[in-house]
Amino acid sequence: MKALDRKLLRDLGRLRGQVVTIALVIACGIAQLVTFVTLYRSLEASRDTFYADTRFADVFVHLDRAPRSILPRLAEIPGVARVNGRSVGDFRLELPNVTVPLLGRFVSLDGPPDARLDEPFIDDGRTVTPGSSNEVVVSELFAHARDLHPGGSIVAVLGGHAVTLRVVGIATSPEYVIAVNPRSGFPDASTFGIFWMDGDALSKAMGESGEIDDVVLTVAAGADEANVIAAVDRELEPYGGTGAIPRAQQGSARSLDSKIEQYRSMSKFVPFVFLGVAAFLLNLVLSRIVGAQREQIATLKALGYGTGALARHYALLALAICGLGGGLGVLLGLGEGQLAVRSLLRFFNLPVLVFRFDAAAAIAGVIASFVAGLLGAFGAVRRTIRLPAAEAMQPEPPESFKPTFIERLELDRLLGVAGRMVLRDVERHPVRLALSALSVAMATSIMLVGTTMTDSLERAITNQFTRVEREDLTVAFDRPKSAEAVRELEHVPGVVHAEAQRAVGAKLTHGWRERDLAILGVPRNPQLRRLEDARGEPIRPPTSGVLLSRPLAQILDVRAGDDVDAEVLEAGRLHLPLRVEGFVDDFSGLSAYMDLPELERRLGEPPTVSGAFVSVARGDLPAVTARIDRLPGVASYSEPALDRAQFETQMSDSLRAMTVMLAIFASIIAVGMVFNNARIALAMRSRDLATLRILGFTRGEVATVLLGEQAIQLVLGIALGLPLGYGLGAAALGAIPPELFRVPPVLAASSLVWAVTVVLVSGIGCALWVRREADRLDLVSVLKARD
Amino acid sequence: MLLSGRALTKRYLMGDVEVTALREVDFDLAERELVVLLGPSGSGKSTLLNILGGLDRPTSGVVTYRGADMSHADEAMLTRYRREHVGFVFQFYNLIPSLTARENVALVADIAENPMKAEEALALVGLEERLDHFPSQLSGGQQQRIAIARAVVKRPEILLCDEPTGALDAATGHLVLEAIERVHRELETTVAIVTHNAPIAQMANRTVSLRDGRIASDVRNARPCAPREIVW
Repeated sequence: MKALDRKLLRDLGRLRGQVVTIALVIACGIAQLVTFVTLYRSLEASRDTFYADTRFADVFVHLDRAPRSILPRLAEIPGVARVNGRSVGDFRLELPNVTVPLLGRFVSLDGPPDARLDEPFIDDGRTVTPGSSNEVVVSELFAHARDLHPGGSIVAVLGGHAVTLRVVGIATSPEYVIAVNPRSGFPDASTFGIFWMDGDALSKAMGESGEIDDVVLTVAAGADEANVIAAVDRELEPYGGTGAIPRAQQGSARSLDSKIEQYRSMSKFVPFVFLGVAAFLLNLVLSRIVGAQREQIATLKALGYGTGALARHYALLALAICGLGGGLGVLLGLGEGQLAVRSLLRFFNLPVLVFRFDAAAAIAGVIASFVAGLLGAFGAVRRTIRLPAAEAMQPEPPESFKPTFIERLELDRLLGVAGRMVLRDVERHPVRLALSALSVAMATSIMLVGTTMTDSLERAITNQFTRVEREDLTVAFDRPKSAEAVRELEHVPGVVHAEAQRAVGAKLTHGWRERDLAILGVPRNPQLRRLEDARGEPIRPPTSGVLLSRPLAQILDVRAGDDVDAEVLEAGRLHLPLRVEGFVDDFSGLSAYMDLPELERRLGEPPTVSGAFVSVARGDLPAVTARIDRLPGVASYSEPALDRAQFETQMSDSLRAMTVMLAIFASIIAVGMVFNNARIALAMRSRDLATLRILGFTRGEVATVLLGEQAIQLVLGIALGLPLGYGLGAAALGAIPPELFRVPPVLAASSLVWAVTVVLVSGIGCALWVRREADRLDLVSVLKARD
Repeated sequence: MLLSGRALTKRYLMGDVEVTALREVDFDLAERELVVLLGPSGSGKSTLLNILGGLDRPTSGVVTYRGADMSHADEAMLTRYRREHVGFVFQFYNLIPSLTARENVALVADIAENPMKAEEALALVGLEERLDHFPSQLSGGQQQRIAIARAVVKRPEILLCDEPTGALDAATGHLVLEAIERVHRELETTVAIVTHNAPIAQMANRTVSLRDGRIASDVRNARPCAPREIVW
C-alpha cells in the first residue's frame, strides 16, 4: 500500500467520530430513498401481477336489477372483450361474542372459474362448489381479524333471514385490495369483509330469481374505453344502471393507485431532504477537514505531489465516507422497506407481494452525496493548492477582525471578552454560520413535518367525531323507505332522537366537468350530523339549491351562484338543474348536500329515507343495537365511536413509528452538524484555546469561546426550522388528494416543545462531549506542536 | 550552473500589509556545493530558498534550473521539478502525523523515479531503529532527521534546508547537520541551508549573507569543517 493511501486510512481512523456522524446522515437519506422506492415499486409490481393473474375488469357498473339475457347484448358492444354479470349486496353478519356491527359484501360467483373476471385468489382452502347453498369464501383480512378459517362458520342476515354459512376458503380480490367499509368510509377489515358465494344460492337468499345487479367487463386491446362505457350506459339505463366507471375510478383501484402515487411522490421528496442535508454536511465538514490539513497539503505539494494526486487523495476520503453511509443506508433501507411493505400488508388485501429493490435509485443517491462531498473537499483543496506551497506551509496569517455590529452599537460591555471573541468570529464567517444554522433548521423541520401531520390529523378526527358526527349510530336501510322507518327507529326504547337521511346517486355536471357522487338530503335543523364551514360554524342546508364539499367545487370549477346539472342515477334518470348556494368544509369524500324536503320535492317523491342518524341514551347502546339488529329493512348500522377508535389505532401505530423515526433522523443530523463543527473548531483553535488557559481563562470561559458559535447556530437553526417544518408539514398535508381527506394544518405546543427538545438535547449533548476534550487540552504540548 | 536566480524580487501581502522580502537578488548554486544562507529574521533568506525550490514564484526576475526557466513554469512543471530534482527540509519538519517514520519517507519514494529504499534513507540519518514510530513518539531531532531522510530518499540533485536546526537544541542540531553533511558527501547532493545561526556557516563551501532582501556578502570557505567541530 502506498504511503499516501496509508495516510488516508489513518485519517479515516483519526476522524472516525466525524466520519461516522456524517456517514449516518448519508445513511438516513439513502435509507429513506431505498425505503420509499422499494415501497412503491413493490406495490406497483404486486398490483400489476395481481391484476393480471385475477383478470381484473376494466369497467364496472352497478344496476337495480336486470335479467341475465342482457349479458350477450353487452358482449356484442364493439370493444367489449368479456362480460360478467353478478349479484352484489351488503348484509349484516353475526359472530358469537362480537357486539360491534359487522357488515359483509356478498359477491356471486357465476359460471366456470376460468371464465370469471375479478376471480378471488384463494390463499387457503378452496373456492365454492357450484350449486352449494351455504359455502362462502372470505376475504383474507376480515378472516384474519375475526379468526375465521376454512371449516369455520359465520351467520349472515340475507334478505331478512339469518343463514349459517360455511367458510371453505380464504381469498383476496383485485376489487377489494383496499376494502372501504361503506358505512364508515374507512378501510376497516375488522368490521367489513367480502364474501363470495355461489350465484344461484346468493340470488335465492337475496330474493332475486337469477337476475343480476352488477356487471364487470374487460375492454379489448385498442378499443376506446370511453365509447364502450357510453354504450354500456345506454344499454343498462332501463335497468337502473348507476353509470359505468373505468378501473381508474373503481374504489379499491383508485385508493391503491393513490397510495402508490403517494409513496412515489414521497420517494421524490422526503429522501432528498435528507440527502440534501447530508450532501451539505459532507461538503461543509470535508471542506473544514481539508482546510485543517492546509499545512500537510502544502508539504505534500512541496514533496512533489501534483494536484491530481492530492485531489484523488481527498476524493477517496469523501468516497470512503459516502461508501460507508451509502452501504449502511442501503442495508437500513432494505430492512425498513421490507418492514414497510409488510406493515402495509396489514391494510391491503394484496397477496402476490413482489419485493422490488431499485439498485439504480440507491446508487444515484450515493453518487449525489458523493458529488456534493467532492465539491466541498475540492473547494478546500483548490484554495490550498492555489497558494504557493511556501505560504501554505506557514500558519495562516491572523484573520483581519473588525469590531462587530453589536460592538458598534456599544452593547459589547454586556458580553465580556469570551462573548466578544465568539461574536467577532461569527461576524467574520457569516456564510459558515448561515449554512450551519440551515442544517440545524433542517433537523428541526424534519421533526416538525411529522408532528404537524400527526397533530393536524388528530385535530381533524376529533373535530369530525365530536362536532360533525354527533350521532351514536348510523343506520342504513336495505332500500329507500318511507319516512315511517325513521319514526320506527325513534320508538325503539333508549333512542333519544333519529334523524332521516336520503342519499341519491347522481352525476353532477358543470360545463364539460362531471363527477359521480351522492346527493345527501339532510334535515333543516340537524342536531346529529352537522355541516360546518372552515371556521367550524354550523351551516344549514339552503331551502333551495345545493351545498358542495369545497374540493368538489374546485373539481367542477363552480362558484357560489353557478348552476350545475344533476342527473339522478336511479330509474327515470331525472335531470335536476341545481343552484350552488355555498360550500361545506367537510373532512372526507365529495358530497352535495340539500335540504331533505327540497330534495324530495325535486325528485317528485313522497318523503323517502335511505338511512338515519340516531342518538341513544347513555348506557342504552347495547340494548338499542340488539333491537335495531332485528328490525326488518335495516341493512346495517355502524357506531362512529368505534370507527373513530379504529381509525385512530390504525393511524397512531404508523404515525408513532414515523415520529420516533423522524426524531432519530433529526438527532442524527443535529449531532452530525454540531459534533463536526465543534470538533473541527477544537482542532483548528486548540492553540488559541490553550493560550487562553495559560493566560488564566477558566475552562468555562474557554468552552464559551469554543462552543459559543455552536450555541448561536443551534438557536438560529431552531428558530428557522420551526416555521420551515410547519410549512413542509402543511405542504405534505396539502399533497393528500383532497377527494380523500381535507386536513387543515395545526401544530400543538407539545410537539413544538418535543421538536426543540430533541434538537437541543442532541446538539448540547455532543457540544459537551467535545468540551470534555477541550477541558483535557495539554497546554504545553499544544503550544509546542505545529501540526 | 545548476541553479541560478537573476534580479529576483518578491513582494507579498501579510494580512493588510505589503512586505518586500527580496529586492533584485542575483544568486547561483553550483553542482556539489554546500552553501549556507545567513541572515537575521526577515532578511529574505527563506523566501529566496522557496523561490529556488519552486515553492513560490518571484514577483519579478528569473530562476533557471540547468538553463530552463522555472520562474515562468506552469504548476505541472514546478511539481515535476520538485518531485524529481529538489528535496526539502523545513524548520518544523512538516511530517505527516498520521504516518510512521518509514511511511513518511515512503511517501516520497512512492512518487520518485529511482528512489533508494526508505529504510536505507533512514539508516543514512541514523534512524534505522525507529522505522515504525509515529512523529509524536519521536524527539524533535529525530523528526528532523526523518525529514532529511524523506528529502534525500529520491536522490535529489539539490537539498534545500530551511532553518533545519531552528527548533532544536545544540546537541540535537549537531546530529541533524551531520546527517545533512553525510548526504552531501556520500550522495554528492548540492545543498543550500538557510539559517540565522552564523557558526553553521563553518561547514559550508560558501556563505551568502542577506540583509533587508539584498545580498550583503558572498564568501568562499576553502576549508569547511565537520559539523561536530562547530560550536554554538
